[in-house]
Amino acid sequence: MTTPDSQEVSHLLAAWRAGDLTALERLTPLVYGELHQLAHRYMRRENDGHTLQTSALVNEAFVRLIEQPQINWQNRAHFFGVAAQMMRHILLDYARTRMRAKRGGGALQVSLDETALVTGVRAAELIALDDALNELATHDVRKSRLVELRFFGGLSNEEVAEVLGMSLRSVEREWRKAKAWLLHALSKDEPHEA
Amino acid sequence: MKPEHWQQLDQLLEAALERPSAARAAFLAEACAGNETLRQEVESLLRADARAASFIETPAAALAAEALAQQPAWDALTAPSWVGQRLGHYEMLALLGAGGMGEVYLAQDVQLGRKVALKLLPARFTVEVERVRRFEREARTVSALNHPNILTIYEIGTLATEAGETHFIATEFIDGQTLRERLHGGRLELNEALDLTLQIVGALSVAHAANIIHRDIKPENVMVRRDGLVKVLDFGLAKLNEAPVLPANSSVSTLEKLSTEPGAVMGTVAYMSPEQARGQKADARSDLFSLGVLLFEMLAGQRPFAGATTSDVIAAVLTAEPPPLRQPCAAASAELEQIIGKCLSKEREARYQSAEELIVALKALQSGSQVEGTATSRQLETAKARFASWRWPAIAGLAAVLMAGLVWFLVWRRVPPDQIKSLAVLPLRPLQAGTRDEALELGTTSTLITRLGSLRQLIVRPESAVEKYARADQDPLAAGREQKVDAVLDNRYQRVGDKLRFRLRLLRVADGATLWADTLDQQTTDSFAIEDALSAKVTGGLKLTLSEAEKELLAKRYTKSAEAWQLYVRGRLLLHTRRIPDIEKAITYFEQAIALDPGFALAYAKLGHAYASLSWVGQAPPKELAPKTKAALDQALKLDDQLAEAHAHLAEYKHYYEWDFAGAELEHKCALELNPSSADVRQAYAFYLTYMGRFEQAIPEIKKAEELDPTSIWISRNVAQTLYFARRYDDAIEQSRRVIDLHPNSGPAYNWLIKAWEMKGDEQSAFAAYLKRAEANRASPDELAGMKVAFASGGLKGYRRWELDRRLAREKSRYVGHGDIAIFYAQLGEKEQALARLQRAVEDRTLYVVTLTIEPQWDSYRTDPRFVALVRRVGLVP
Repeated sequence: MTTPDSQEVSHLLAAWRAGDLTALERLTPLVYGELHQLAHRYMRRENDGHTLQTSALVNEAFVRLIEQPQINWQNRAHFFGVAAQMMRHILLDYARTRMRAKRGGGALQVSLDETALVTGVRAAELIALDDALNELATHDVRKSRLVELRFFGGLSNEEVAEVLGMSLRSVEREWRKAKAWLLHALSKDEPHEA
Repeated sequence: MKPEHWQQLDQLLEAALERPSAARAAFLAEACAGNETLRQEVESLLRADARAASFIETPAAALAAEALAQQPAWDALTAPSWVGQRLGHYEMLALLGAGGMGEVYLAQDVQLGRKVALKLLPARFTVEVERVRRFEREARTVSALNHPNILTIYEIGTLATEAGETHFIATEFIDGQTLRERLHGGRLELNEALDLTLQIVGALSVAHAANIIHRDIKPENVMVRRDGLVKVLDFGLAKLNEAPVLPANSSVSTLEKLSTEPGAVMGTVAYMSPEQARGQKADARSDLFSLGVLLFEMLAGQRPFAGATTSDVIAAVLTAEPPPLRQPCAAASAELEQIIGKCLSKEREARYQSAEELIVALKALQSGSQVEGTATSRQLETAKARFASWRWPAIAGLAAVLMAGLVWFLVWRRVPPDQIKSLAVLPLRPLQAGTRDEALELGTTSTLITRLGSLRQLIVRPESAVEKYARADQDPLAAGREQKVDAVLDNRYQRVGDKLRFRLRLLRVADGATLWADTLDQQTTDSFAIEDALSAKVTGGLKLTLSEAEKELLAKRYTKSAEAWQLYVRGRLLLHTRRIPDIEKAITYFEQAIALDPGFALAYAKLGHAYASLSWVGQAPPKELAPKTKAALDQALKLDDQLAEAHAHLAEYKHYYEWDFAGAELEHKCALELNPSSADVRQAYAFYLTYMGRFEQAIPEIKKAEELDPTSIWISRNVAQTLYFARRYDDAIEQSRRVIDLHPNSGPAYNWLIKAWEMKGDEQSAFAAYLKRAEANRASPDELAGMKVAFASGGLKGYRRWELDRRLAREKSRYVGHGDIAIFYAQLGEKEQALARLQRAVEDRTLYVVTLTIEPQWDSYRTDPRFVALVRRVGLVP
């Protein structure tokens, strides 16, 4: 894999911010490559029982890709946006692959949900959550991005506030409402839930 | 939903949430006046909010890491199967199966034109480098035992995919079915069940003898070939998926462990021993428990411990007694029931203590139940014959594998981009397979190692550590990880007409990045020019800033004769084994090298050391060999007084033979000054400090030596020696076990374990270690039997008497060191004899006598005036 040059990454981020959607396409493999490598390295180093903080991972990927002493907050915010989207994509594909494997039947005893249990969300729930989040986006893009950053990107409320340019107070409010809405949407299919 | 409606809903929800819950209903009733649907919508959102406290609060973090690390590439997310694709030199033909332990494919090895079963390990198994190393070592060891009932492993390695690497195991492909599939057809006949069990336990006994536990015996891991031959799969693989071992009294329940441990599959639980279910360490007897479950299931058609859920099964394994074998199995005798019952004992101590014990019991049963003369029993006979013949070749094979695969604990270290502190120079290898120019390979590699090793800023692994990586298909990064170095230098050569073309690569071990690469063309005739050009290129590539003195060292030529250099390198590698015939051969090589180049100081230094080594291993009395040692070392220093190793060996001579302790230390310091990064030089000084009783100084010194050469059995073993003399017996035992774990077939690895157990007064363990050592030293069956009888009849004392008699008998025909004999007398309480022997050891100037003041065995002698006189004579302060 070629090492992306940090100027290129900054440039792509700026282009994307300016509305160039193809910039995101070009940015994605660079960010993915970095995240993938970092995740590999973390998993090697971590002992049993430790979990990797996604935001730490994203942070490190950012620092490594940009390599700038002066961090441009705009860039950083956008970078987190890219990473969270990507993480969502990766996790969903991962969950779907696992679901497929499960349906694959007898021979495939892939242990599915044990892994997902760590996060409190099972593979199946993750897919449903994604659907609900897509629906939420049709009503309220800001809430959907907030959830993406928090849940898939692993960012704290403070970081989300920074990335979305909101006050901390608004982030907390919006987060609570988004959660209520999502949980409500997810419960609709379950007959025993009120 | 219309945007206005959504906005309304959102605002109402927010307003309601800001109110105390008791006030919300009234608020909504008023705010939604008349719009009942809207009110209900907000109400249900509020109910959801009440339940949402922890909902999605935890980010998908852990899963994210796994997803990222596991998926080798973005594309692979949607393409989980490799069928039809090519990975490395494997053509993936079909998916044979998949499970918690990975996917297994039928693949064609296109290089060797054979079908293999290729297992791809899930990424979560391979995140811990040390576990993977360990697993690889065990798997290779077991495979090398070459037992007919153990699946042969062809290759273990990593396959590069677009964005990462996947660990894989390629094994022979067995045309047959798993025992699980076989059991689907119903329970088995007694004869067949016994036959299969005996084959499995045969495989286990061999593996256990090599200290390898299977840990996951179950029907899925046993293949039965069409002709009835059993193959046991996946030795040690279970360990990759295991949580850390818990202490015996741990209160953490298995359920907790299982619920957090991905991949714990229910099927496995039913075959798990109680200790494994408790999360404790598995041993040979754990495998026998699992085998008992298997035998029960084969005969009864059902498992002895059953339950509706995983936890019920575990509870049964831990507490329930197995049900009696049912009616369908009328052939089962009381004896059979007893055998199974013993296998299934909850306490390990109540089970068969070894696979061999179980074999004996099963065979007795088999002959008693008059097995009919079927194909099955014929197979059994062949299996028995194979079992009888495996032992010797297997031990030889094991030794070879261990020589080739010395592994030390791996610590993953991050290396900042340009900071290469430690380096392994891999043996020069041809670019393409074909005839190899051994002289060229040996000469250039050792020159590079010697030259780079003389630089202060760089730690370079010695030849003895890297010589095993000479195979053409050696993975350079794997070698680098094993050697715990920052970077590896991987040099290849190719003949192009009358020229040699070298391709040089410097690889960073942490991430496989190529830090530098270059090529070099040289005329084949001048090997020195080649070495000089290579050294220059490499130091350039390493971006080293060298002092004038170092530049001089880099250009240093130790001999004018290429042939002499090669002889010297060969001799040096032989010395490392510390076996008498090898030392003697090394002496011949050094003498030949000196004959070719009488000015070859380094060869003189090693010749002196080789003579000294002969006396240390007890080949001849030191006083016979000392003059030769001294003459060679003097000559070495006369030719080159800057040779660190010559000074270190002179220090040893002064210490052990002249008993000039102060002079010895000066020489050691001088050697260290000249070359602080030589493992040998460091270790020699650590020895000195230990024998002088300066343990606090010795331990850090020997640790430094270990860092310089982490795979050296001798250095690791000497840590145990220092700990023993420092009277830290538990630590010495711990360290010895670590060494033995890595080098189970090395006799000397047991020396300090034995002594530590003796000092702790644990006769049983001490004798067990004596036995293990004798086995590792390839003692004859007669000798082993003699040892056991002596111990059985007279305890450790009985054994010591037997051993002493043996040595006294041997003494009639050859030289035997007096130190050991003195110790045996002392341990038997024969003080006069012990002192007499000590007296002779002192007269011979045996190395042993420099330890008189620190050896705990002599504690009760310390007030005896005769002992005091001996200590004084050596020049030590009593």
